[in-house]
Amino acid sequence: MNISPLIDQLIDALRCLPGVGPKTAQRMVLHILERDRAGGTRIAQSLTQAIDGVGQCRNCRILTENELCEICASRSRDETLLCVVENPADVLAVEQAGGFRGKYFVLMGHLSPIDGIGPDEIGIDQLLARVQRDSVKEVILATNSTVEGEATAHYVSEQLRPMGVDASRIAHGIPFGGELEFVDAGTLAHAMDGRKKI
Amino acid sequence: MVSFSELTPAFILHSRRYRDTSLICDLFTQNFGRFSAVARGATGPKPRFKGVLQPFVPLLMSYYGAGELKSVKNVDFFAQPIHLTGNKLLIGLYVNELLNRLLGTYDALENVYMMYAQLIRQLETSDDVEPLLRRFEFLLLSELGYGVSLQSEVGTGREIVPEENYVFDAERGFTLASSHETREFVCKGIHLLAISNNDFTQDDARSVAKQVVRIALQPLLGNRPLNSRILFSKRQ
Repeated sequence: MNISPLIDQLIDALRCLPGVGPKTAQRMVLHILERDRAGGTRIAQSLTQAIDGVGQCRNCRILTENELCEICASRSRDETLLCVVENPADVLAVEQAGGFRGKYFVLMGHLSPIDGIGPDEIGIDQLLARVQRDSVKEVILATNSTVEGEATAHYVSEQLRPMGVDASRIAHGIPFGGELEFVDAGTLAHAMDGRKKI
Repeated sequence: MVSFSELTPAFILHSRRYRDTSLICDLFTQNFGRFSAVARGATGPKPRFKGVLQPFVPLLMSYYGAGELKSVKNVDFFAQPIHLTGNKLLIGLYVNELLNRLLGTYDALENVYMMYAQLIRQLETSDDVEPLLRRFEFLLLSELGYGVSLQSEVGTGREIVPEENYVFDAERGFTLASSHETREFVCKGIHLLAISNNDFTQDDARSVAKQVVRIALQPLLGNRPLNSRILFSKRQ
């Protein structure tokens, strides 16, 4: 049923969000128009400002409205320790976990030959240039524990080797608090391979 | 006849995100050949089939849906997961890209499936992977109907002579090189015979095998290059 073209247009626009189907979009639109028009205006304004203002950090490629993100601009962080991740969400995840005092580099994806994503698309040149410029001592490869994530980590580590920079890979295996009985076979096999001396 | 709703052996060649939490998986299966299936709810905070839907894992999968694009019903491990690392992982990705490009959909090629399963398993443990890969490529070409005859000349049918020089044409095969051959790739009979005997001990034979495969694959791949091959060349 068509109530009004503007409402339809808005419902359609909201559907680009993750987790929002036609029904949810319709509820959102009706809520804003019936009960919270001020809230709607605020969404519209912040959205426009964010889209116009937010770009990528010159240094680490994370999303920011400044030329350098807060982490890159921070003086208290160790710039010789670099953590390479696939997505901005991964930076947030590592930050929330706490304990890491170095800086980041966001690849914005992973190597995936079948999809035509190669080293150029994920900014490997930029990463290597940064490692050189900041005299990075160790690069922590925190790409996902998927086949593509592993391939990306391997490729980056190969490029770093001639530069004499240490590359390390984050550990994967049994989750903290996990019970072996309920861990899937693939993870358990990885955990056995990656065991370490105590 | 096996049905899609039964658990049957499969490998994932590649997967990509679809909608919020689903994956579209390009599969290579023993009974139905290559096709794609949606695995609903396979990503996100509480994924179904957690840690299972990855390339190089021997799986048992069942499907539903009547259309070209199936949906994944169930997944289980078939055998111990194969753990490829380093260069072997890149070779694995190359083989997957090759199969994704060359195999038609729903074309059951049980021999190719068996060869693939064996190759991936051997890649994991072998230190010298080049001969394994070449053997797989030659077998794949012949299973697809583009077999390369390494023992006889095309046209004349004469046996390949170790001391002679030969040139290779993807559409025809090997012919004796003339004394004023202009083509770049000329190879010795002795190396062709070595390759046909699965003897890859000499570096020259390896290099010949690599070039023959490359030329033979070219018409099948068309103008679009293999991205994993580009990735390999960028590493040097």
